Amino acid sequence: MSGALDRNEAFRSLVSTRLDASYRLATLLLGDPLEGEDATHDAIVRAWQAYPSLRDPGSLPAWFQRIVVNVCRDRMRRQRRSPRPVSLDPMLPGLPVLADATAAIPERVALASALDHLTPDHRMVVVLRYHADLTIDAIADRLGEPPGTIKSRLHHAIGSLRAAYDAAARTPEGGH
Amino acid sequence: MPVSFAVPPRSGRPDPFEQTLRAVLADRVAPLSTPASLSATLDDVIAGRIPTGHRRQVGPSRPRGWLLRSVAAGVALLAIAALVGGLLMAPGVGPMGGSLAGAGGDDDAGSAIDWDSGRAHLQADSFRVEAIGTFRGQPDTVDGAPAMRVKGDPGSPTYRTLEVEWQEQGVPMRLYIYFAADETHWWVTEMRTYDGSTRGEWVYYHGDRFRTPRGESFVGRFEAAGTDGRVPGSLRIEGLRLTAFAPGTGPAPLQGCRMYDAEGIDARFDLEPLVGMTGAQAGDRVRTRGLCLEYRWSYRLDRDTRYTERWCVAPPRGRVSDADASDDGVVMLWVDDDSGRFHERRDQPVAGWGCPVDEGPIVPAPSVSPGASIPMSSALPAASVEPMRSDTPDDASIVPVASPR
Repeated sequence: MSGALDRNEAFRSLVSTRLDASYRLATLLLGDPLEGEDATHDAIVRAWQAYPSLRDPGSLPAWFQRIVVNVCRDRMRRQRRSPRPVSLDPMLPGLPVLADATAAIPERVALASALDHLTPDHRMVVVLRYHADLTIDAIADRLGEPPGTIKSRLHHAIGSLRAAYDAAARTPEGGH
Repeated sequence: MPVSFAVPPRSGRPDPFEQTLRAVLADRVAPLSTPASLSATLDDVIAGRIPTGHRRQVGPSRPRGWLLRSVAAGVALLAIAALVGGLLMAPGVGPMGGSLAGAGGDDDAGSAIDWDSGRAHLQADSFRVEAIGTFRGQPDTVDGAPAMRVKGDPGSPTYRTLEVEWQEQGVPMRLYIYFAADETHWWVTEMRTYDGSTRGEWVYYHGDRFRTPRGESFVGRFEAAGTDGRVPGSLRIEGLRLTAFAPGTGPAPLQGCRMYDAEGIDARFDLEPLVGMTGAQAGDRVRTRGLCLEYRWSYRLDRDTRYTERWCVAPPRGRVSDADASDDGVVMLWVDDDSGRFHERRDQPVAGWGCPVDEGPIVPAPSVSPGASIPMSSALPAASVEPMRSDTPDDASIVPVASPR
């Protein structure tokens, strides 16, 4: 009994320290704080269901992140199958507009817009690489895909983003 | 062949592009704080208060943020229109509520409803949601018109929705029903309502139900408690008659689709080279592999919003931006219009452009058995012995409204 309680507390402790990062990651992937919240909720439930099969508690951070990413990926795929308007608002809905003057720099605006035009698969690798700071191998692990596929996606995604960034930098308003 | 990747190796000197990209991503989530609901979820799941056999959101995911925004915008527009017309009255007074009778909750009776999206149809003698208040599907009247919208996702041969959105007693309310189907039956995979809060939070009624032969309507009653919303809720529907996947209301199933192409290669393999091709070019490649194919064609409504249509033939303009294959072996090609113009949103044919319409099964004469199901009137004999029709693909009705800067 005590063992079960310890195990429950271990789960609570490990997941609770990752709630914030998971929620932010899910929100970035899905582009909507409410969707991010729902996805994190689902990930907690799914993780709890699968927890008995987790052999190495030390692997929980990566394991839980993998679950979050997969929940988000499922949601992105289901969303894409539904013909309906897609918000491309570079700012997340319901969030205050940052007062930071640097937010108006053309390159940032261009990059934010280009980010919203990436395909879901491409956006996912960009977020995992440049927000979650994962290596190519770690992204491949989270997505269950070969590293070569991840490299290829990142190559195409960064190519698109860099083109938008460079174009904005070249404009007179770009200021460089 | 060596491949060079655009991801530069890490070096001591920061790349301004990378720095900016990291900053853009960080800015997007900087204002967020973790919702208390997630800690509560963690507590609940460990304590066994959330049944892990039923996830909070088992049905197709909805872009709830978009809905909330559009609802908020819709409500705001209605309110503005009413104010301009001098007709807005406080909730609970005068024309604001056919719903107000019995709103105090001491009356168990619901109200009759008849909601038809054209793709699914819900009728009931009595409809009642109990959460933060009692709601009967009776919309407030704003500016002389009921504040209600009934719509549905065009979906696919195996998926569609009924989405009812209304304002009642001054708060937003929703009833969403998600449907699934196979070759012989359709059923409901999830129902959910709003809880009556000002913000509008979901109450979920999980579980598959109402399994009914294709070509028939479900007739019966429904009563369930919402399991895992932020507040408890219940939904009761008496004299329920629910119709989905009726003939002529959606796409026909694609025939002979499979996950492996003619050479035994997974349909999902080698789709990335299709990106950048025209829809026709990519479609030829997919068909050459012997795979089923659908398009999603998206065009801009304004600078920030795109609208996506279902096409079964190559869309008239644009390039493939993404390709994927569904679990049932249909390759999906997303084609983005590249005309550089904004267009007005238009209604799609029930099955999408150039797509065969599901004309339904040929069924015998109706045999009504209370509490079970009855054949749909539109599937009566003789009427269904017609060739499959499809809507002619056409982009002529897309109206360019402006050009982006």
